[in-house]
Amino acid sequence: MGAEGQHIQYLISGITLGSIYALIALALVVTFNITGIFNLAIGEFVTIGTLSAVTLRSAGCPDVPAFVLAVLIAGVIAATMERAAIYPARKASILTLIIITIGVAIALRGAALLIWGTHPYPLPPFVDTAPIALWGAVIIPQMLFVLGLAVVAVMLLFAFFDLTYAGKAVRAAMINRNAARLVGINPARLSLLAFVFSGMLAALAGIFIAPITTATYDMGFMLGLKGFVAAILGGVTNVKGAIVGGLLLGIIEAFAIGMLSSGMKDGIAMMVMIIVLLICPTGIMGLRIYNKRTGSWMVWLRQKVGTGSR
Amino acid sequence: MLSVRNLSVLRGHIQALNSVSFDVEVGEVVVILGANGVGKSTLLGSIAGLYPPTGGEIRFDLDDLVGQPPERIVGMGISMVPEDRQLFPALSVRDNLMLGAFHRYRREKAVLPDDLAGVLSLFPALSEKLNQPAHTLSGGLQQMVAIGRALMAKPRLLLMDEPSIGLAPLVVREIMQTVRKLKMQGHTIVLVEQNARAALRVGDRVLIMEPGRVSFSGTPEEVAASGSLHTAYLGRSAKR
Repeated sequence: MGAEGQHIQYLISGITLGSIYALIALALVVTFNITGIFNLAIGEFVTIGTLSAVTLRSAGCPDVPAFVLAVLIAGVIAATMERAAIYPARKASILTLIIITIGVAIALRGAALLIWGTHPYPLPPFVDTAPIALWGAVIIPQMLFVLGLAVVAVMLLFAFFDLTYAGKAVRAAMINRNAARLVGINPARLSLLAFVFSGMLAALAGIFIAPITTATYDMGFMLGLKGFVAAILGGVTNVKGAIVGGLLLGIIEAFAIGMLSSGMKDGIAMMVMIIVLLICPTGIMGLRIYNKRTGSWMVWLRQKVGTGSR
Repeated sequence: MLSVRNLSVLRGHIQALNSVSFDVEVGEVVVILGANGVGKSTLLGSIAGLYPPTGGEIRFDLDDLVGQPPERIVGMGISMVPEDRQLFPALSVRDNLMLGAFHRYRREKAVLPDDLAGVLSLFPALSEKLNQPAHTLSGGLQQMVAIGRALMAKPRLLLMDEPSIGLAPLVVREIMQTVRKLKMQGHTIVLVEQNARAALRVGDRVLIMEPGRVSFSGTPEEVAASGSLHTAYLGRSAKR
């Protein structure tokens, strides 16, 4: 494999992993925009979804129903979390609520440890096709599934926001919570929906990436953290930014692993986060570029959901 | 139809309203005047459910509004044109208007196009802007969107918080004409205004507020005769 093929290989692995980060970041950002809090238990939903799928499969359930059921399980647990832990404390400060999500994360991780133990579980790839060689790089078919999931999820989400009445109501609530309440949009119900949506999306992301990475009780911890970094990279409230941030983080990581050392993997993400927070705390979506034609600084990437204040 | 009794509201540590009472009858336009910061917006906001009262009563026909959240109150028939319009700037004018009907969307989806047409006949200038993001409109048109959005809720009582603020005199006149038209269509309106002269012309009844309380209540003629407007805006020393 030549140097060029190697770089393409890094890029492809980066985009694959980046798609997963992007999906988790998307789950975080949508929840944040609706509720004002970060669901730091998001990684545990990756774990629960994936390991439930593994267990269901080994119990004889065919692939697709097992995956659907596993995602539903994650959704039910997310709903329970919102109603039992977040809703009763909805009048508490944002910080308190975020700490509650950390508490839930620890509890869920503990439960996962009790149920599934510490050993890794394999989840076979969705199809049994041989890897594809492309420009000196190797593409594992599962990578294409991950990419496909990311593309479809993002497209569905944007279609929901742009084309449906309910999606516009959600955007309205993200843009101006009080004005949304005045027309009858119930933020408590949206909060529940946001948690369920993000939990299910995280579970899906886990099920799709597990055939590449294997599944363990703590697989979600790092993925959740990386999704968080990607969200910060994308500017925290920005849906488009979350996707760009996730892909960027995946690619940076893949190149860092390849060119420096694989031990650097998790350190790189944290370094990226610190650098972004120091240099450009509004994330890459806050970056401005100089437009020669108009002679002014312009926002590089326009925001997708609303520009109004909360 | 609306009866407010001894309403007290705390905002932060400030007693924004202290035992305020007034009534609104069906079909009338009640104007609330007063200087900045006397609690006019707090009064409207607490009727709409934004600020929970610490004491007193708000009755709307048979419903007790105290403790109800805004998303419920709009369903009971009170909708509000909030201070500074509070549109959804990135959404189109059509979306802003349609979202006004959110609380009845599921049940009355079929009649919404007719209601939208009704709002557009009131504000014909919005017809050609329907697909534009709301923030690209002029202040006057944005105010019309805000009023239209509140009307899409099909309210029995319409609360308007300073709809003329920051607008050019010509536009202010247009907005006040709209209020008059709405009144003729049978709407019941509570209108908070800084622009006393314009508001006195549309009001059936006037409340004048001093910090935290209602200091005067009567017809526009009585207000003009009593000189209490001067007191409210210029302070007691101006009375003499």
